[in-house]
Amino acid sequence: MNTIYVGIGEFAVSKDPDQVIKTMALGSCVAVMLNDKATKCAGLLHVALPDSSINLKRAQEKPGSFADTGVPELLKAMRRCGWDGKGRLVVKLAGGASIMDPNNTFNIGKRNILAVKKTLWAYRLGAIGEDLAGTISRSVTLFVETGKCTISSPGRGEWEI
Amino acid sequence: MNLPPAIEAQIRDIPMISEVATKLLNIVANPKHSVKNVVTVIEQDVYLTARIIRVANSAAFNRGNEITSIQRAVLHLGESFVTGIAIKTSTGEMLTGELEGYDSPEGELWRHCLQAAFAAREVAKLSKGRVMPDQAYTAGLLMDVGMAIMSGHISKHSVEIIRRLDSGEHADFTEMERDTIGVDHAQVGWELAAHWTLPESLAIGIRDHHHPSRAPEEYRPLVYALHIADLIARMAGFGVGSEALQYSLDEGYLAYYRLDSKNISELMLVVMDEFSKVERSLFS
Repeated sequence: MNTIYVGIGEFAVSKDPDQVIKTMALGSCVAVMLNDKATKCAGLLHVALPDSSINLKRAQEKPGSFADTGVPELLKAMRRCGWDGKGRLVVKLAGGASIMDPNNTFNIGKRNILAVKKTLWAYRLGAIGEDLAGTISRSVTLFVETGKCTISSPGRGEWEI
Repeated sequence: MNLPPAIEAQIRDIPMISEVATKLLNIVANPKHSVKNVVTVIEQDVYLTARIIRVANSAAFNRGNEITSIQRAVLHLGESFVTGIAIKTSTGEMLTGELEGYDSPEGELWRHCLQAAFAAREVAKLSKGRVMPDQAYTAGLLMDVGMAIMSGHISKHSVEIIRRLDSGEHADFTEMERDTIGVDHAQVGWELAAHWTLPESLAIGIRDHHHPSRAPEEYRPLVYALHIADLIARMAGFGVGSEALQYSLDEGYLAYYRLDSKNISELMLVVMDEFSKVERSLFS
C-alpha cells in the first residue's frame, strides 16, 4: 500500500484502491474522512482552526486550515474524484482534543469539532463514526478501497471507527 | 522535593552542555547583549560555525545571495534561532531521541521543543517589553528537557499510567509523574539546568512552566509565556507522546497577557507556519 500524507491544513482525495491516506498528530485539530461507496473515492481533510475570518488571506492560500473553508474544498475535490454530489457519503471524524481550561479560551479542539459539524450539516452531512475530544493526540489512516478508518494514539494502540 | 537516587545519578553522569552553548544561553538571557557578543562566541567553534552557515544557505532560509560569514548568518537567521542550533548540536541525541516512557518516537520531543520555542517567542512579543522574545525562545527550547531523563524511569509504569490517565485519576500529567515516581519532568529539568549551570531565568522557566504561579514574581512574565507556549504546541499536535494534552491551564496568565480565543488561533497559525518553514533544515 502506498501512503498519501496529509499535513496540517491540507486535504487529499483518491480512488486508488492500493492507497491509504494518513494524517498524524491531530492535537486540537480535527480530521474529516469521507468515503463514497459508489465510486470508491475517499478523502481526508486536516482542519487546524474553526473559522477563516481570522485570516482571509490564508483561507485563500490554504483553505484546509479552517473548518468553514476546508470542508467545502474537500467536497469539491470529492466531486473531481468522481462523487456525483448526490450519493450518500460516509463521514467520519477524529481529533479535537483540548487541554484543561475551565474558561474554554484555549479550547480550540471543542470549537473545531462544532465548526466542522456545523459546516457538514450545511451540506446535510453528519458523521456515522467519530472519535473526538478528550486529551489524547490521534493519528488517522483512511483505507481508500474500503473506507475503513483507523485511529492510533501514543501508548493506546490502534482502533477502528 | 527530593530526587530519586537513580535520577540523581543519571543527571550527574550527563555530559556538560558545550561551553559555546552555555555562553550563548547566558548572552541571550542578558538584556544588554549585542549581536557581536553572539558572533564572537560562535566563532570559537568551527563545527558550529559551519553548521550555522549551512542552515543560513539552505533553501528554507536563502533564495538569494550566498552567505559566507558567520556575522551575516547570525543576522540573517536571528540570535535565538542560532542559539537553538547550538543547543541541538550540543545536546546530541538527548533532545532528538525516542522517549520510550512517553511512547514518543524519535524526533518528537525536538519537534515539540521547536514549536514551543516559536510559540514562546510570539507570546513574549505580547508582553509589552517585560520578556525578551529571544530569551523566551531559548527557554522554550529547553523547558521539557527533563522528559528525556524521565522517560527511562517511567517506561516500566507506562501501561499503568495510561490506564490511570484515561480513568481521569489525575487532571494534570505532572501530578501523575509525581504520584508514580516521586518527581515530575519539570523538577528533573530544573536539576539538569543546575548541573549545566544554565542562567537562573532559564532554570526557573524549566522548573515552573507547568505551574507558573510558583515562580518568583520577577520571572512570572517569562514563565507564563512558556506555560502558554507549551500548551499551544500541544494543541497544534506537537505534544510529546502519551500525555499529549493532559495538562491544566493556570489562569494566572491573565495578569500578564490579554489573550482571547482569536489571539490564540493566530498564535497557532504563526507557530505552524514557522515550524513548517524550518523543520527540514533543522532536522537534516
